[in-house]
Amino acid sequence: MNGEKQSLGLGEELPAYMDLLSHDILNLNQTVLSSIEFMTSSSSLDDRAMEHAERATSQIRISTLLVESINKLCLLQKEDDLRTTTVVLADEVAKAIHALNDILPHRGVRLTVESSPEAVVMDSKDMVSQSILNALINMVQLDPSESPEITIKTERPGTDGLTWRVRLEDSNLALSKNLDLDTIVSESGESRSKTVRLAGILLSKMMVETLGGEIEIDCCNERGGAFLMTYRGAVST
Amino acid sequence: MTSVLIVDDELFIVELYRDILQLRGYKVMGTAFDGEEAIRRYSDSFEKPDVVIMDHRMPVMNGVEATREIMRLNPNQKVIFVSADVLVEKEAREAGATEFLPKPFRMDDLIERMQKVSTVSVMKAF
Repeated sequence: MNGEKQSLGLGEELPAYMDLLSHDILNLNQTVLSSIEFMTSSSSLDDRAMEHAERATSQIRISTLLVESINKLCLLQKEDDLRTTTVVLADEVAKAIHALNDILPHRGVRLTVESSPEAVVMDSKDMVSQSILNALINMVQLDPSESPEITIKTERPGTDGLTWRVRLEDSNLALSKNLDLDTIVSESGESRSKTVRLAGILLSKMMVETLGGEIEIDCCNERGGAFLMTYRGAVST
Repeated sequence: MTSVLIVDDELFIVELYRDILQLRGYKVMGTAFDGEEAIRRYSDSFEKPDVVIMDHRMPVMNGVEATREIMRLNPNQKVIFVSADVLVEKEAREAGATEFLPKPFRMDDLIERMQKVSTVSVMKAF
């Protein structure tokens, strides 16, 4: 070895490798999920053990969502063009909320939704709802309170009239100060330690950007913050 | 009692399905670890299972091919396709699968689908 970085040259093969890897990981998750179900249904566990079993199930389901999201993004890399469709943003928010409650039932998340019914945006492979879900789950994971309170707002940023923004706000969010996603992914070393527990929002960023939008993090000095995801609006003809 | 044939190449998964389904009152008629073995077991059994739980990616023969062959042997067979590969759903349904469940799933979801397809087949019998 001469100390130079060697390229693995995985470019074209990466989607295929990721597909195989994710398939095996999902099978592993299936065995863990079914084992937990077997243990909880066949023996008389006390309340605390049941609580741990419920949490373990949530962790497995989050890991599944992360793997599926990574696989989806890798598969998209080999497609020549992004086949887009239009979706109503309020419906995608509702889908994400439903999945959030299903994945994290024990967190008792309280949501306030202010959706704009006329917001229609460009989507591909359910990435709008999945980007919102990834961000929501990450927000709940970063909220140490017993019952996180999140407000979801749909708004029109700026004056161009061509984009819609979903704003997720949590007054208890515990984020590193002045967190900047672009800096995190471009810098190495100490600053990268800030990326710990940010898998969901990073995947959300990749999905939103794949759809032609952008994502921002609004951090407060002490506690609290917001994730802002901007999507391309459907251009009316 | 609803009878089941379980087809999956993961021994651990097969054992878990079997134990949970038996615990919930289902009769596990047999297990197979690839599509070819599934067809052999299916053809050899005089009494056919009410439901076949079929995985997709398996050695020797995959789940879509095995489903196609089972449906050729018995067009009324109920097959619940379970796979970590969501892209295969369309192909599985075209081969004759009645239901598709992406892995990982909760056993409650599988049982719900089994009850659904069993009810449909009982209703059709009348």
